[in-house]
Amino acid sequence: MSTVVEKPAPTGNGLNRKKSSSRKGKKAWRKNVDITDVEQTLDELRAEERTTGGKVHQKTDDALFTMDTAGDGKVQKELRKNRPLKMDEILAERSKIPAVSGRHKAVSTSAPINAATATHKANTKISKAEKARLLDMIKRRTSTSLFAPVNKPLGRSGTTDATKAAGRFDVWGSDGEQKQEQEQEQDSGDSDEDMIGDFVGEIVTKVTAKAPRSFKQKQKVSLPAVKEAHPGASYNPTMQDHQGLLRLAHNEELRILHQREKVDSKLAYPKELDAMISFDDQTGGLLEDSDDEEESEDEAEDSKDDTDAPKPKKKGKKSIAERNRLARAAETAKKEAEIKRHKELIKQTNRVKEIIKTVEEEEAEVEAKRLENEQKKEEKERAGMKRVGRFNIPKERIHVQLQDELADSLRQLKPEGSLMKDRFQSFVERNLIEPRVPVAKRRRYRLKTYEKHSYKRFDNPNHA
Amino acid sequence: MGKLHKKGKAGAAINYITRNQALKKLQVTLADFRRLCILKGIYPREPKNKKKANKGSTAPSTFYYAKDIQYLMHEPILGKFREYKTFAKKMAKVMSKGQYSTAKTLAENKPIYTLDHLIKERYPTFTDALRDLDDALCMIFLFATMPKTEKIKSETIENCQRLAAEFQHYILHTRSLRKTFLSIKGIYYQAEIKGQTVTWLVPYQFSQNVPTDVDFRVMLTFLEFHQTLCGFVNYRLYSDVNLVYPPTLDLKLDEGGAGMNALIIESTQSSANIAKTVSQSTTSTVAASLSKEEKQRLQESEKRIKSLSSKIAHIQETEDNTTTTTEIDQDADSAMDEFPAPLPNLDGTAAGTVTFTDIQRASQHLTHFQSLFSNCVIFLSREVPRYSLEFVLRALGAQVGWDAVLGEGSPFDENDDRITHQISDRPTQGHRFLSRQYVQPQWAYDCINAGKILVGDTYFVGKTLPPHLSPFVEAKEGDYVPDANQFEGQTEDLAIESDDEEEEDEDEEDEDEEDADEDEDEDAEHKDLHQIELEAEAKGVAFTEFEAKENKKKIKATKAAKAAEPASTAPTTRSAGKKRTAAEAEAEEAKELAKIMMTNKQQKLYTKIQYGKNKKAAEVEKLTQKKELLAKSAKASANKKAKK
Repeated sequence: MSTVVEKPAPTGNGLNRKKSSSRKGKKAWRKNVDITDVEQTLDELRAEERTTGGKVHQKTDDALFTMDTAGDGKVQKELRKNRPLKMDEILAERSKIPAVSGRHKAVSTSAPINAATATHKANTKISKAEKARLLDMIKRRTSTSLFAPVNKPLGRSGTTDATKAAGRFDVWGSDGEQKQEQEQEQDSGDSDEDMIGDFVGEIVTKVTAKAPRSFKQKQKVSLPAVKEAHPGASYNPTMQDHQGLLRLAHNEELRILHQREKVDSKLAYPKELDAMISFDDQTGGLLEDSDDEEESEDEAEDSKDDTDAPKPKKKGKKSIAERNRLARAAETAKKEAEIKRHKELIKQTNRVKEIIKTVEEEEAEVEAKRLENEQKKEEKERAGMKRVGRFNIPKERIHVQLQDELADSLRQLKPEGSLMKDRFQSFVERNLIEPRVPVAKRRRYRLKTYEKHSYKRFDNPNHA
Repeated sequence: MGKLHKKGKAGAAINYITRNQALKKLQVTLADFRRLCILKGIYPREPKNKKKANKGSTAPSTFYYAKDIQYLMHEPILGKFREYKTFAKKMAKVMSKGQYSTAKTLAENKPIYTLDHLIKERYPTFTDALRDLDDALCMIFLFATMPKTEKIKSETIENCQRLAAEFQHYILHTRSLRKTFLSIKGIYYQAEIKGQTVTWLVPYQFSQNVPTDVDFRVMLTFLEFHQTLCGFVNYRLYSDVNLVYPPTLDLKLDEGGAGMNALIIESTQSSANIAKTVSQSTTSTVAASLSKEEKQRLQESEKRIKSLSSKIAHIQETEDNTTTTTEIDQDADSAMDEFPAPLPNLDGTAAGTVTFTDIQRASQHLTHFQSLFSNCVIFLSREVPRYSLEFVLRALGAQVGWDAVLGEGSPFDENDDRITHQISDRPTQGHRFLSRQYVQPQWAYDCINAGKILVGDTYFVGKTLPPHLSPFVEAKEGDYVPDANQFEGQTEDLAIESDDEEEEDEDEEDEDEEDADEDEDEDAEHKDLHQIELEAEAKGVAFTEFEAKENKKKIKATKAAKAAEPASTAPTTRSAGKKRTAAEAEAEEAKELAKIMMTNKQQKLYTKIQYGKNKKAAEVEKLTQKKELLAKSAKASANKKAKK
């Protein structure tokens, strides 16, 4: 560095001042924080490793020291004679740490021409099946083009490496714990981290994320994975059970019908409109305006008259006598009220027990209602959400076979419904996934239509 | 003055996060987010007040717990998704340049993720996993029957079929099937595994078409998780009963359409040698997909099968002193595992106190139920669904053979004289063997649900069948059960008649066999059961047959126990007209007293309840009387006919 030192040789105070530059804020901290000592130590450690092949402080005393029982001056002299040049020594220096084994190098396009032709053969020689296998890793199944946009998501096929690896050991036994420990070690097994770990390990430990309470909490929905079949869904049911199931299906169908009717009726053209139109036709739509207005005006006037009739009393100054009278009346009223209250109190004291009982009963009732409400709420929660996200959860279809569809024997049975749909429905009902509605593909832009010249010729006999 | 609270800094506003916010936070696509949520088990939640949770907006949106999403950020799979994205980009670039060798090396280093940590996280214990197995089984059995389409790869279907077959084998081995139900949708099965009730639904074969309005991306993600779960569960289940997992696939049988019989189930105890070869062959089965290697695999599996018998013989010679699980142990285990759960058709014992005798009776009942078909040798005609019937029958100890049309590997053919029942489903049966009963498929399912072997006459080929009742409907107290006595007197005591048959069979078999039998009587407790099984298998006796013999002994024991029992199991129900006993009168009095102590409101409620109960009882009474009358008239007419 060729910076000019402007200030005189730094005293102790000066050094301190230079060190204590601002570390306010992230940027300033990064700029001004002094980590030379840390880096220096790390460098020293690396140098140690290079020369000794490991960390000195980790080695045993035996590896570091030998007891020199008999020092010899002669030997020293002789050694000095054959000593190589310093230059050679420096050049011959090699790190004691073994070199990193080379990664398989990808064939670069910038390689020499000879090599390129040699590898070219290896590159082009590939079976069709192999090529398909390689492409299958990246290609989207739906795309027709060979090199269509990539990023095929994992696990589209249902069998992944995870499923293949399943069942090789006991997850719940000791093997599982061992395996997980191993994996954790592998994750944190980098050399640099190791080195730092020696110093920092005592203070900082790698924290594994703890699952939140909510994660361990079971879902409130408690519907069984496999619903019990209705007895009427037997392939050879009793008459009663079958009728029961039929009734269920019937009611469900009726409900849907009613709903549809309701919507239809709302959407339909209202008949009242028809009636109005016919009235308009009768009057010819000429008279109505003037007549109506007059009538309404008349009514308004009438009502005005009515309100005028009872006149409010005029408020004047009260006379003293009046005031006195009023005061007396108020006093007597107060006294009477007092007496009444007193009487009531006496009455109540006579039936304290009864009152206590009614209060208790009321309280019990409130408590019971609260409990009931709570229970209802819980039940509702257990039944699952009715709607998740944008869509309502569809109701399960009741599968039923009519009397004449029922099979006489197992051989003739025609299964009803699709279990795949059934499973999907179950997942949705238990709120494991949100309900979805298949989205039809839409055109990005509208298709323009043009009339071609030939179509304009309407007199053309070929034109329909 | 209290602290001022800013809006949107606490409560629902920060507890919930909308889906779009989550996408932004995690920086993933919607599709990836959906996948992550399914795999990790993060579901949409419902805030109490949507307006508060969504900054005052009432627009419809899906909410998640903010902390869930925060936790999702630490998920290693999320990192893998990103890695895969970059990998795909690199790959596409290299492929478009035609640098195939580079592409190959890239493909070798494809980022791979596993789900075992998620399984462990979501199901900390094995029991948790069993509780959630219903879903997984349904999906796996469903996809095992799906046709291969563009969306569903054949690889997936095969894997599902394997997992399904493995699970079924476990059920067979432990005899843990409890209920079955043929519905118009599919077949319901209910099993009991380690005290947990597992129900799953299997579609009828060849009936599944691929619906268009189901989101397959979601389904396949679920399937991926469920396959992984099922794989680990199967491993644990197999290792718990000392079986080798994964079982070897007999390729020849598999190609012949043997279905779940193509798997070779072996015990881990028999010998370490076998385990070794199994591991070798399995690695080969997993690794190879080329035709050359397939051939090799075929050869290997053939070799292995051939060597199996010799190995077993070897084991027989060098007597295994390690008797890790004796028969008794196993029985005790199963009994201990299973008694607390409700058993099919177990007489209703008082729920309040469980006495030791109750437990004992339950376990006896269970052992009897588990060997329901143990004395049956059943042949399946070509028109019946073997995939279900074989499983159901063998799960309760039957020996099952089938027509060659239904696939390879049948232990016996139609002309075998050991056959006690033949299941066929045709209008008329042409040629008939006198020694066996011809029944329709429903017979098997009804037997299981009834918990006893029903008379085959009502299920005779071509006859109109009695209704198939759902075993999942549990009659409440006081309900009228129309079929309570339906099967009364219809049960067959097959044990006695088949005893003779069995003896005859034994005569036909080798002398060694008989020696072995005698040995069994003495040493059964000391010898390793698995080993005996294997010996028997080597001699050509089917596993089921062997089981049947084993169970015969058990049945004899249970019969003896039963003979002592009937007094205790006698029905306690009493018809209305009879005199009251002292105890009943006392109970009535206590009720009256209790009624006096009630408040007015409670009394009214009580009378209401009683009224309902009485009404129900009257209905039941009416129906039973009607039934009795009908039965009487039927009897009378039968008598008349007989006289004529």
